Amino acid sequence: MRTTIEHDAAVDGMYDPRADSVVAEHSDQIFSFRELARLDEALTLSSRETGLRFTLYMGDLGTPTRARAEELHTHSGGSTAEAVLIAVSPGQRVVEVVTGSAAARRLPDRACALAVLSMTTAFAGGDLVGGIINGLRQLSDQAGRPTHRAH
Amino acid sequence: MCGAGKLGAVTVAETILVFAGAPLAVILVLALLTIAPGVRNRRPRYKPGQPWDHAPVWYEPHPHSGGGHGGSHAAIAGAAPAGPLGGARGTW
Repeated sequence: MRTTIEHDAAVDGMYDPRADSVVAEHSDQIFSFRELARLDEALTLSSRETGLRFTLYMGDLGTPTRARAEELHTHSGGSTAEAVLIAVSPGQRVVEVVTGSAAARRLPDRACALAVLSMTTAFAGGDLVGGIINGLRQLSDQAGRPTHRAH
Repeated sequence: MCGAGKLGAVTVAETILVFAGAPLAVILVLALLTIAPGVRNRRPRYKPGQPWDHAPVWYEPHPHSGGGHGGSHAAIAGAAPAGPLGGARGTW
């Protein structure tokens, strides 16, 4: 299947991003396709269920990790008040959960700390994806469904 | 089994083939089936304490199902930090 795609691209001389992405995916590969699919499903389903916007950042968070995570949260797109950022820095062994002002009402800091605790337990065992998915599940369970109040 | 069919003597080569070759073949097939999938997608597994030299990645939910009340208007309004931030922090 893949060879036919590349063959077609070579014939009509068009740039085929799929062929390139396969190569790039192999050079700097953090997660397998299966893990990426699980992460994608977890993020999308938690966001859909709760009405909040869960995003996941994986990478280095400078020296004051909290400040960097909050800065990232302001750039997380959408309405930041309802955004929840999970920032994981495996190199520094730090995970930060940042909730916007509206999200913090449904996700108190204590619930976030509980989710963070379960995440760090899994991370310490080397299971990044499992920890993230469990943390997301806890956060979305705690946030519950959005309440549609009449204004 | 009739009078004409007389079973010939089994040679040494045939004996080795049946009693050593066949089990070895079975073992090799099972070993290949066991080892091959792991070799194909071998990736360095994360272990706590090792350096993380991957580029930062930001994963987002699918946009049409994302939270908030959507729209570009919300994106513009959300550029400024909105109120106090909550959350938690953990290390491992």
